[in-house]
Amino acid sequence: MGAQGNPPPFQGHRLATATKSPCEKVIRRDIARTYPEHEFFKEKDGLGQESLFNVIKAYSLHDREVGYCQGSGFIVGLLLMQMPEEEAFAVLVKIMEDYRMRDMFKPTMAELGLCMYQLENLVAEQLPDLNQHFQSQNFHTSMYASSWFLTLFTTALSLPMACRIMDVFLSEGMEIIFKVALAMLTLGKEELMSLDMEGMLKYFQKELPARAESDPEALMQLAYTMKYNAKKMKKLEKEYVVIKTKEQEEMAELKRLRQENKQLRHRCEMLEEESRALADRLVKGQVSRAEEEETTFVVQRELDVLRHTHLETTHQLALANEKIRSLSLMMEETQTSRQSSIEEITLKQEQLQQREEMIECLQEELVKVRLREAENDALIRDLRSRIHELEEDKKTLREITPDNSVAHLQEELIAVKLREAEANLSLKDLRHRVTELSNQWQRHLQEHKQEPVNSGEAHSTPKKLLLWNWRLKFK
Amino acid sequence: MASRKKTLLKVIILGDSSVGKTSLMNQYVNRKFTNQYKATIGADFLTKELTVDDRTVTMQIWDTAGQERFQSLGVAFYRGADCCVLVFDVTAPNTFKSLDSWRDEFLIQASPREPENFPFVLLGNKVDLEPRAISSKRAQQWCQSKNNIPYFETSAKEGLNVEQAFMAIAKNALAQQNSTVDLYNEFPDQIKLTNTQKPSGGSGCCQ
Repeated sequence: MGAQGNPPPFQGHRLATATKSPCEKVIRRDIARTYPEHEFFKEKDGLGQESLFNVIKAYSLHDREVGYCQGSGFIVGLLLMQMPEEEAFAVLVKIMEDYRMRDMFKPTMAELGLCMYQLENLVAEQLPDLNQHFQSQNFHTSMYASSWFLTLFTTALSLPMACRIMDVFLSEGMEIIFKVALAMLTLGKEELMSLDMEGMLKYFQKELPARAESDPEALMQLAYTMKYNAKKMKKLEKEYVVIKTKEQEEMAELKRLRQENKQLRHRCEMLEEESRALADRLVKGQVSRAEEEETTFVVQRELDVLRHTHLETTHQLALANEKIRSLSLMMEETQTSRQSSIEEITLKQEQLQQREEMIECLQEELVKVRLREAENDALIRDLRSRIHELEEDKKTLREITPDNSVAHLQEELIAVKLREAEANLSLKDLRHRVTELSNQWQRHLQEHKQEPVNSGEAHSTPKKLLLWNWRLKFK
Repeated sequence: MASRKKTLLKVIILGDSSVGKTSLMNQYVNRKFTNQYKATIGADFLTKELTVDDRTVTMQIWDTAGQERFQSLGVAFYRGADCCVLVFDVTAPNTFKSLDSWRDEFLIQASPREPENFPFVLLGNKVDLEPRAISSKRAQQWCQSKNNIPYFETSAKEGLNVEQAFMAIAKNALAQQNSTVDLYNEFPDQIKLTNTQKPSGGSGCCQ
């Protein structure tokens, strides 16, 4: 393949397809960014850009699994500098399918990882010092070499150099890429060893390509001398597959663990929340319990006091009951005594009444007796006058009728004299009786004045009885 | 070489292809823009010295290939990063939709100690172009949903906001490094940071 830097546009078969590719937008974005300084591609929507777009798009339709991958555009561009679209497409398909590039551009980009692993091992084997330096600087192979493999040095070196490498690549395959990579590292080894990661990165960007470009022939010769053992590479591939599988498993495990961790964290948070709530409740419960205990204590104390009071009250109640009993007894007694005293009073009143009655009777009797006395006096006078008359009569009669009449008169005189004697006797008796009654009355009056209530029972003779007795005596 | 007085901040730029990762990096480091950048294959890298809070630090900026399948190659680049810069094209909705995937993939491969606290900075690039497909509000909402990621709208072409964005990136990276010094024991030339002030995260951003 000619290593022309600026070939004229080809007038060959054009690839034109009406079918839309899902990658079209992405492809379109990268078109202007592929060889932006190259004459053929720098014109916006020019033939170069169109051809680039057509080939890339055609490939994305041809190989749906790969579709479009950034980096492939530079390879297509390099081809388009040499041949028309259709041919470039055919060569691209071949490069993809027969030169490991398809695997390089697949979405997993597994082949790139493998190439990095293989190159790292080659460096470790052939440039151990440099490898150690890389390790110490944490400088990963992919940091400098991924674009070498993805674009087959088209983005790292000048077009003539890239074209030369592409020629060898087409005849020998990926091996030359490893060899050129090793040659580049060998070239820059001394300087790289003195740089830190930052310095090395800059060196890979600028100085190293310039140094390689300064003598392309030397670089290629150096590359050819690099050791490349296909068997060893196969072995490394197997190792890588094992590592990758393990890594993937670990990744899956990690993902699972992350998920689990997330769930556990969530649960932990929830539990913490719950714990907080429970602790809160516990504290509240304890506080309320303490309060309740306090209340209980107070209540207990009150209860004790109440019990004590109750006992006292009971005691007092018993006493009071007893008192009541005694009082009621006393009351009963009082009642009885009162009743008896009332009875007594009543009795005395009765007696008094009786006595008054008796007094009345006695007075009445006295009046009657005096009246009779007066009557008797009158009767006595009357009798005396009759005696006088009768004596007169007797005298007369004695004179007139001395015999018969004298005897008769004498008889009559004896009878009158008897009757007179009787009357005198009863008068005497009555007088005595009146005196006695007067005395008795006086005595009674005196007694009544001194002891109006407690008058003797001895004088309580019913008046009626007395009266009765006297009446009997007088008749 | 054993004890250089130098603080190295490792920053990774991620985002779909052609959102402007290489252009942003070059605008920041070299203050120039060209339409003639090649598509980044594998990873590219630039360094810049800058002063953050009176400290001179070297920012090591890793530019990566934007195609999804290149994510699997990230491990070597991502590990030991102090800050991850996510970039999308404000005129291309798909590049915004991919952000979650980039962020998740980064966290898986870089496995930082505290994934939830790892500093990200989001750049909405190409604000010089029309029409806008992703509003600032939408981008900011996304940032808020991701533990308040600082957000900058930039134009690598016109150099708009690029300096400020990278200053915020540097501060976040420095804060991250101060909080996880142990992570750098694997780098022999790293110095221990003992008496450094922790800059306030996200200051100077346009949120």
